[in-house]
Amino acid sequence: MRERFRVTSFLGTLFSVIVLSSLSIMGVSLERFVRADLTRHAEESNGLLAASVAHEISAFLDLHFMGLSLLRSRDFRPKGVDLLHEAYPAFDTVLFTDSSGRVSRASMGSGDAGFDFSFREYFRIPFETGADFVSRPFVSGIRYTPSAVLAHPIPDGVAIGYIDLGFLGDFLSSLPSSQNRSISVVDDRGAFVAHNSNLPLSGREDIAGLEPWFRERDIQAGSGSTLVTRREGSEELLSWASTSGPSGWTVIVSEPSARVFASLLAFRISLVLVLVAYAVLSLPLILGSVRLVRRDLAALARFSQDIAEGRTEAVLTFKGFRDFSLLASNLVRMGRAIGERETRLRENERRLLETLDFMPVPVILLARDQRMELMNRAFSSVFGWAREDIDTAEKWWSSVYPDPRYREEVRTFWQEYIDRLGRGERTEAPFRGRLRCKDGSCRSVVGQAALIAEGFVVTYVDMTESEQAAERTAASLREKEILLKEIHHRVKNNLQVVTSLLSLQASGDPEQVRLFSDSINRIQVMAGIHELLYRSRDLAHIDLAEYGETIVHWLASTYSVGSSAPELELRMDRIELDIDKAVPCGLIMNEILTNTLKYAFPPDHPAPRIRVRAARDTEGFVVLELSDNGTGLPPDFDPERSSTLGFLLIRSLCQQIRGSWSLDRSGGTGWTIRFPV
Amino acid sequence: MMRRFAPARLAALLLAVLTVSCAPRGEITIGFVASLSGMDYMLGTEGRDAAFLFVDRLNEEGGIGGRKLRLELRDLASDDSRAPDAVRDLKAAGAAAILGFFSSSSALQALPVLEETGIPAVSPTSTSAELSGKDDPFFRTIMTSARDPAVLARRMRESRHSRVLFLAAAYNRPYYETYRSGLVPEVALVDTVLYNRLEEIDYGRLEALARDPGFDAVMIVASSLDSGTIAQNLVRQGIRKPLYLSGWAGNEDVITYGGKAVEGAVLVHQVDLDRASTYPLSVLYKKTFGVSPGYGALETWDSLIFLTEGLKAARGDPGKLRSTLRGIRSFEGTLGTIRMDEFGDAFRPLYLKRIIGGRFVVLGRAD
Repeated sequence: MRERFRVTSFLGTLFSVIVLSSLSIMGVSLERFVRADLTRHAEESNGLLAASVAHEISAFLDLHFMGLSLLRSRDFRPKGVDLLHEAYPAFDTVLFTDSSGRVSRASMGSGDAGFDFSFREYFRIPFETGADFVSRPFVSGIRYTPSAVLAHPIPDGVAIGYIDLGFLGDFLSSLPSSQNRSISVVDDRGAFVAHNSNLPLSGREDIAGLEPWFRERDIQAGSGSTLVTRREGSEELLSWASTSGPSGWTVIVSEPSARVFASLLAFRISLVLVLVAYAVLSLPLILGSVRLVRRDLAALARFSQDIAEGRTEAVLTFKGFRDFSLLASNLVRMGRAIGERETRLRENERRLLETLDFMPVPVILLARDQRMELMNRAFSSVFGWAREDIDTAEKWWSSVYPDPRYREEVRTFWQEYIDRLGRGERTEAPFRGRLRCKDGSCRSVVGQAALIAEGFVVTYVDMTESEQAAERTAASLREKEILLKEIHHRVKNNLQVVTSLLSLQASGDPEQVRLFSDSINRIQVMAGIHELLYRSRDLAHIDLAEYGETIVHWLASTYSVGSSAPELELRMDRIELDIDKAVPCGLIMNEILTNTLKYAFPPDHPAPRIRVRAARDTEGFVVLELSDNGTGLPPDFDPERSSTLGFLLIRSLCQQIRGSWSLDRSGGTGWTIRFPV
Repeated sequence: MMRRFAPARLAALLLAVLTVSCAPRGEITIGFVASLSGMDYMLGTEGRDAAFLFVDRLNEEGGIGGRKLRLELRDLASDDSRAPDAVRDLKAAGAAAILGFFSSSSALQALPVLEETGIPAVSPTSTSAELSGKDDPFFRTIMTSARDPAVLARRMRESRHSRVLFLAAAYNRPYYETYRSGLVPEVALVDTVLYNRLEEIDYGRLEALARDPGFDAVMIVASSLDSGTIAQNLVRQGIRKPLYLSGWAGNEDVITYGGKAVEGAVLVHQVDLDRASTYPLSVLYKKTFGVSPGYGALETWDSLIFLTEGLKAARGDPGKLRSTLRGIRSFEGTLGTIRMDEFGDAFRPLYLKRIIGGRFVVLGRAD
């Protein structure tokens, strides 16, 4: 309770502070605007005043210079000084000097007649420059009153008028605007000329010439405003304007910033009062509101916690803020929806498990930690285990893989297997193995696993009977193989008996020997095939290269006598031929090579050579080339029309194997037999 | 408890932020007393301008011990009777010291109140012998003018000016008495003419005196403005006698106002203005005010140098200032070393000058 109160207080205070700070910032910003506006207004007002006064002073001085210019007339000079003194009340004294600086004539009452003014700047400068001159303020030697001198060059001298600056001070103090402002006139160095308070000259504590703003002002601009802080710390708004003409004076209107910004104090006080009032009034409201909000949030939090912990049947009764009420009703609906989905999810899970359980294929479901989650009926039926028997990983391994070495092997394999599955690699190929059944027997299985959710589903196919059947079939095949080999061997032997009988029959009669030898050779060729088939592992095919080489060597040895044996060049690819192709092919070779050996090479043939090549072409046809460098066939011999048995056999056998033949009679004889395999 | 009122404290802090203003750091107040108006305004205004320049520059450099100086002005308006009230007023304003007085008469008027308040005062230009050799809070960085008349008298004798007309401003009695009492044993004063205002001087009578019994020279003890004006009037009256002037008239104004009438005038002065032209403050003064500083400005700077040395030694403690000032036996002024005795009186070079061609020419050391 105390904790809740602290949190509520903290939040309420924090909120109040934030709002108060925002209001304060707004107030400060607004104050700046107001201050800027007040400054602008004061600058305009004071600037106008300064410019007006400067204009008046300029006009005043211009008027008096105009008066002094009358002394340019020599005729006017004798009485002119007195007349000007009377006509221009501001002139305290009027005089003119000669070119040496001596005062030629002075107005009545002046004590300067006959004085030497040659060292005075108000003689020297206008006399030398020919321009009007206004002196710095000084105390006149007679009356000790602040004065300034106007000097106007005249022919052969300078006309000089002393101006009592008290007159200017009176003018400044008579201005209505001077009541709340300080209006002063200073020369170009900041020395005071006059002031609206009419204090005596040089009685001012502040000397404008020492002020940075005065030294740095833009004289060319002719006017300006600035806010300065006095030495004693007070702040003033200064507006200044320069007079025109030779005086170089500046009118300065200054107003204390406290007066300029007087209304700001009221504004600040108002702001403070508003902030205090806000703080006093709003804090309880904010605290109360925060408390209500937190109460509602707490109720919502409790309800959401119930949902999160699975208590979807929890009920929320809510009477808070409207927005929170909406949130509450949404949470209730959400809770119901979650409950319904959970129910459906469980139902689906149950169906899945039942499906797996009733599948006719042995299936187990393993968790990531290899704990048994499901062992379906088919698995129990096939392998005899029940889930209770091997519900832990260790029981599984020790029971199903009793052989330690084999178990370790399987474990390693299984770990790699599920790691790959876990990395999302493609479904692995089925694995083979042997499981021990509950009754102690072993069964061969092919299994496959898949990663689903957080576990693995493993299906097994019992291959034991299939393997046994395969074994039986293999044994049968092996028996048949042996039998077939025996048949080939006996056929070969029979054919050998036939060739032996023929040889016996032909013995003693050379003509009969010649007649039977070709047939004997043919029979030998066929017997050779059965010999090869007997020796071959493939009882239905023989290797053309081996067969061809056997035939070539056997015929060469049969027909070659002494040193006339031809050179044999054999290049035959290993091509498997079935017996239906091998026999005709062998017979063709026999015919062609026999003919070659018998007739191609006369005894004086220098280098008899027989070339035999066999290869597949690009279309898969076998191309058999038999060539020699013998004498070749007789020019008029047409193998297409020849009726000799050998050529008849060649043509017939080519046809039998659906092949084609061609004959190259250049440089010997070259047969090319092409047939499909 | 504290936590419960945390919001209130926060609000109070916020309130304070809106209205708080910073208080200025401690300053050292120096009173400045002089005539800034009336007939005797010239030295005072020059000294004031010079004092402000000095204080501004010192404050730019950090002040004394990190504390800035502030000048508090009081105008005597050429009325010496205002001096005691000015001192009391400055004491009430918290002044640690007074820079003043610029005339001997005003200094003597203020002396009793200085004793009473204990505020030390340093004068740049009060030269009366009546102020010498006193154990009081009054110090001056200008030497007494007691030696001036002796030098002038010697010059008069050398020039065979044995009969002298003595003209003086009556309102500065201690000053003119120093000159008069110094001259009397050496030369014959034909007459002593005193005035309070220039128009009081009867030049007709002076003309008559010039004829009978006659005089060889005129000694004027007055301000530079008055001295120049008197010289012009003498010439206008036809009285063309050699002039001897007091140190009071030793700035350019005597030439401006006296013109050719003061040509050849002789005076004794403690400041060589030509040597001072390159002093940094002199350069700044001319740049600010457009004219070269006169002796009033230079001697004001000497007084301020002396005063700030005392303040530094006292570490800004006003109570120790009088003793630290008294402990200074010499210091570097604007034109060289100035020695101080145990009574706070200065010893500095003395120059014999003459106005030649419209400017002061130093004829040599007079001491």
